[in-house]
Amino acid sequence: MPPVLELRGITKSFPGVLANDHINLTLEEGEVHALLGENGAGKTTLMNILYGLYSPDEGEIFVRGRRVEIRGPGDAIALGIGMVHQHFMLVPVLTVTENVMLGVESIKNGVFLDRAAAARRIREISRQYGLHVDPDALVKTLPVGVQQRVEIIKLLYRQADILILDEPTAVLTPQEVEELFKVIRSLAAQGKSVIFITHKLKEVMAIADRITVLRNGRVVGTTTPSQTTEEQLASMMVGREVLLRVNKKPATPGETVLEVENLEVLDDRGNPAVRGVSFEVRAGEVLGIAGVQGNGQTELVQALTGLRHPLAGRVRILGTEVTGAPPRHILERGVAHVPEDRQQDGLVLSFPVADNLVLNTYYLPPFARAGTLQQEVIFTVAEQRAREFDIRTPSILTPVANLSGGNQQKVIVAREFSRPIRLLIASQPTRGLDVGSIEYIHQRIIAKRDEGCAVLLVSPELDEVMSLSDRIAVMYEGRIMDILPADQATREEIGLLMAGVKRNR
Amino acid sequence: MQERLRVGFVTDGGRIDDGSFNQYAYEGTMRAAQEHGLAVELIETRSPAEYESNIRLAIERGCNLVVTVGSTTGTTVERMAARYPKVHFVLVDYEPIQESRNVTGLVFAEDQAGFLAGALAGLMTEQNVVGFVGGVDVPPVLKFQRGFEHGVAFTNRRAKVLTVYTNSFTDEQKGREAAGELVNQGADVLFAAAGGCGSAAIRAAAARGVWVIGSDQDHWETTFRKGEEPGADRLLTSAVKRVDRAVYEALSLAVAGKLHGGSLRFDLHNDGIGLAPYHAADVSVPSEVRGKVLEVTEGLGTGRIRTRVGPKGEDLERRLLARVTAWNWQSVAMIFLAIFTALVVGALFIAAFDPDVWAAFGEGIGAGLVAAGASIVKAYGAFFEGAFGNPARIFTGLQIWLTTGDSTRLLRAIYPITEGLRLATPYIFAGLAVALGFRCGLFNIGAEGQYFIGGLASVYVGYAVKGLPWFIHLPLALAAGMLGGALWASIAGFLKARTGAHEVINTIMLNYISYRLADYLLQVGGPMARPGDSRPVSPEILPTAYLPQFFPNDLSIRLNTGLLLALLAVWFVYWLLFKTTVGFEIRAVGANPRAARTAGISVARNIVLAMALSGGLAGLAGAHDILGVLHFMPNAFFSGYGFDSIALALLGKSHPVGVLLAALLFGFLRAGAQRMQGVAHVPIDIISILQALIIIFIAAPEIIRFIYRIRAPKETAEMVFTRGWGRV
Repeated sequence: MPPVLELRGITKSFPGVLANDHINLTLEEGEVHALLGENGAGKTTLMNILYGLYSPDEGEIFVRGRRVEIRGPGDAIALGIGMVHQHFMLVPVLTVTENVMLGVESIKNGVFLDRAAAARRIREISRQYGLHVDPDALVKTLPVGVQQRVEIIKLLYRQADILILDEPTAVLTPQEVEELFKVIRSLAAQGKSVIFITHKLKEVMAIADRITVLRNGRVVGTTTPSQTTEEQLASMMVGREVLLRVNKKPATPGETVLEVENLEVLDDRGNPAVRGVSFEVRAGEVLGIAGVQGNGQTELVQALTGLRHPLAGRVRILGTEVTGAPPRHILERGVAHVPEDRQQDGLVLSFPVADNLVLNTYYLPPFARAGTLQQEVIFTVAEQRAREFDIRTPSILTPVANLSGGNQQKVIVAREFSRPIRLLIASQPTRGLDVGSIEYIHQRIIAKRDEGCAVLLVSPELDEVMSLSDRIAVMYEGRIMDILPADQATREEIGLLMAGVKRNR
Repeated sequence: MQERLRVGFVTDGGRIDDGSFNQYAYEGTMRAAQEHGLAVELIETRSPAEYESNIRLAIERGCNLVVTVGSTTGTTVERMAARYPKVHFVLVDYEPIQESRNVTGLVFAEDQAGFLAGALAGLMTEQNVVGFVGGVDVPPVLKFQRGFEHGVAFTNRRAKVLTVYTNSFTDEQKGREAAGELVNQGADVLFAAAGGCGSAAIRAAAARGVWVIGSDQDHWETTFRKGEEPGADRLLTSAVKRVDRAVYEALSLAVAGKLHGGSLRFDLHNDGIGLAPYHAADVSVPSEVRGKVLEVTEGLGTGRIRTRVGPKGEDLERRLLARVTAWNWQSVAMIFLAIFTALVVGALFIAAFDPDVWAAFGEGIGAGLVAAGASIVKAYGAFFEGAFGNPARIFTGLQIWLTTGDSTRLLRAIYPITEGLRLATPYIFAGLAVALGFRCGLFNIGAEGQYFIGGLASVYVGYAVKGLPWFIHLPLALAAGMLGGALWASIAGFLKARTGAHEVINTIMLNYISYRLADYLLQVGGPMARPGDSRPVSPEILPTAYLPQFFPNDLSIRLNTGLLLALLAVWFVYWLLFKTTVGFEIRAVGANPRAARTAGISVARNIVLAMALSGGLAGLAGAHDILGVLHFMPNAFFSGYGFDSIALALLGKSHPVGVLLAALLFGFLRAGAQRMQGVAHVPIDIISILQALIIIFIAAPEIIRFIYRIRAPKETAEMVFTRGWGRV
């Protein structure tokens, strides 16, 4: 029997870039095939070709042994190819059923939407593949993990049997990832074929039947989880040896830099998000805050950086009270902030790299004198920072929007780490980044710690918190469940605390 | 340096006998130390991680002057310099960024050294192909490269320069490969500026029998070990940076207490760079070549010859070219195509509304087409004459003026141009107002109302304040107009910043309030009405508040000095937006308010400020029309400027210069339309149609792309015009 899908010699170039260079790939029925590669390795380009969004310069595509031309998503869907994009394509104010029906509405009596029939089919699909979802719920009320299930149901409703999942775990909590994996296994067991695009090694090892690694637009190799290790995959991806664990010396904590006392913060809707949190961070140590996303970490960081007014409690930095102070006042105390959402909060995407590198220091000498910007200085410094922090950009005048995610994050890191800082507040500093960039940013954070900087690290990625932190605080429903020394904490114990369970020691 | 000098020498990671900067800097240090009797503390850095602590160690050991190589470590040292203000740092091969008193960078004119090497290479090549191997494209290497290219071109126009960057200063294998590649491509002189990687490159090239030129130091001494290595006879010379001399000079200055912060530049003039001796190649270099090289050396030294390379290695000519091409030519072309297309469509309207054309079509298609063509030519002929004047009449007017000194005819002839400029003036102010708002993400739809309030304020000051000389009265009246508009607009800004109320709604409401306010103030018997007049108009302003006319001897020409004020405003808005911290904040808030806030920028303050600035500009438009044209305020002052200005800002892509050009376009359109109506009896409303068409084609570029089959460019950063509802 021919493979469900076969790509032969797919080549696609953009001006200046060979995005795909003679790529061969086969997908068998009932297989989970992981496509692994760093950002910019050509994964997304390849999938967009398969989905008909780009046409290849060279190469052929075979579906079930038959040569096909895919001229648009319509062709792809007709061939049974469906794709779940990284950013969901759902209408928030419609129900699950309405979203699923959109574009393939079932009609009764010639005019009316037959919601009931569609809902029935959705329930069937849900049951068959373990995709639990309420067809009548409004999409905007659903957690991200469930919205993703709706996207998958949309594909199955359209009778897709080749499912492309583009970075499906980037937005999920660890529990949701587990749920998704169950679904994928059930899909594969019932004969669906899945292409799973990711750059996360652990996930590949857990879910894939076969793994194809891309680098610089070429296939580096195809392997299976039993024949390889995470280290091998990482070096295939990056093209060199990669440190998966952070090497660091024991911390030597000094004076207290950040003191938080009984802090209470409300969220946007006026509900308590942080409920009486107290902790301190000392110079030369990393305090990690673990916890499933949405347990008050975002609001905590906003309160500490002056972006959200706390309801009660105190924040002191180096002994000075800064509770409720404006952001600039806090930044000027020597606080660096790597925000959770780099595109929304960290960068002005339409501004050039150079301007983003001085986004919070543009008004200080030497960048400004008597209110006028010193552009030559800004450009010179930007060129140096770009070199020092290895920011890959055609020019420092390129809008930062045109950079890859990893390089955008490096712009933020370069900006924040080049100021004289005493406290670093890093919120999900490696979210959505590839292995090489993660390694780099982790090393930079530890180097800051060793320089005597206090570091507050907030991340839902348990691995990250555990490998970087000296002490780990676990947040659950706005409270800190416990603060543990990192060398004594176990994954299991932290996992329980993240779920709100506190054991007596 | 009052106390006794104690010098710390810290290597940057290389060894002290590296045959490169560390070694030569050390030699210079030792020479100065011997001559002036200084104590020297030497610390060799083994790994980059130790570098900072080594400098600290030198300071702990009592050194008050630290010499180190700064090419790669300069920023680190500058950071440390801030922490140790009593210690002076001398950085070889590094230009300090911050202005600090205790950091001196020693910089070299690599472009001159490269130029000399290039001049020699150009003379020595037989194949007319020479090669350059660069390490990493940092400024010193770029300066070598660009200087080299220009030097080659100076002595040998036909020679081609092939360039390879290895992206390494240390990888010898890459150096050898690069050299091999260049020689294979026919290069017979090879110049390398790539550290150890470059040494390997010239060794490999010399082995292939081509001429080689080294950089930084005399490679005869290092790479070819005083000529003992094979291939030494192929070393032409080296483009040398006299690091030892520079360090010696710096230390001598320090001893004399004359070493200041900043940078010391070493070039041909002070013997800081130059070519090394020819050594074994001496016999092979013809005397006319030597003569030419000496001539170039002298020319560069005296400044007669320039390398045309900028301080950071940028090619000055290429930079100019890049600036020009950085203009988005396609979007410029799109605007012209939009105007052209609008004129074509407008022509159809002109023909379609002409009864003569219809009558001609009744006689047959051919006659109809001829009549249509004639109608269009007549209308557009009048239109262009109305906009730009009649060239023949301008020419005769000019002749008469030059021969007799009588300017009447000339002024009559250029009247249409002046009228276009006069009409454009308030457009410039109002267009700038809306554009400035767009830059901050604000949609100021209330320019009309601010124009009104500006007019009211300036007319009041114009007639009510008496007894002032014009040079006080006029600025006061202008300031009143500006302030009135600014305060009016900042109401909407304040409401947006405080409550999140959308400025579009509030500025529209403020427009209505301003119309009714004017009704009330100007009504017969109202507070600002002209006493004894049956019309609802304000009193005449005093002549001391008039904006002076350009041509006081022909008062029918209404062009006044307000135009100069408008041009000044264009410059001011450009300067404010792109050259000042205020503009940086406004643009940051406009492009991404959340990121701006996170970076410590006050979003609320900038919204109020941008709104006030915007309103001030719109107020100036009103003041111009009162003080420069009408000299009183009628009740029905409604102008349409306020709404046209939105189109202007869109057309000018929210750039001050773009707005200026768009305003000129609109001004001339209006001026032309007046004549078109008079001569060709085409209703003046055709101009509204033309304006609307231009705006549609600009706002929906897909139409133009479709008509002219233009491919969409690659995505560019999106221009922000306005944001949605809610508190920011």
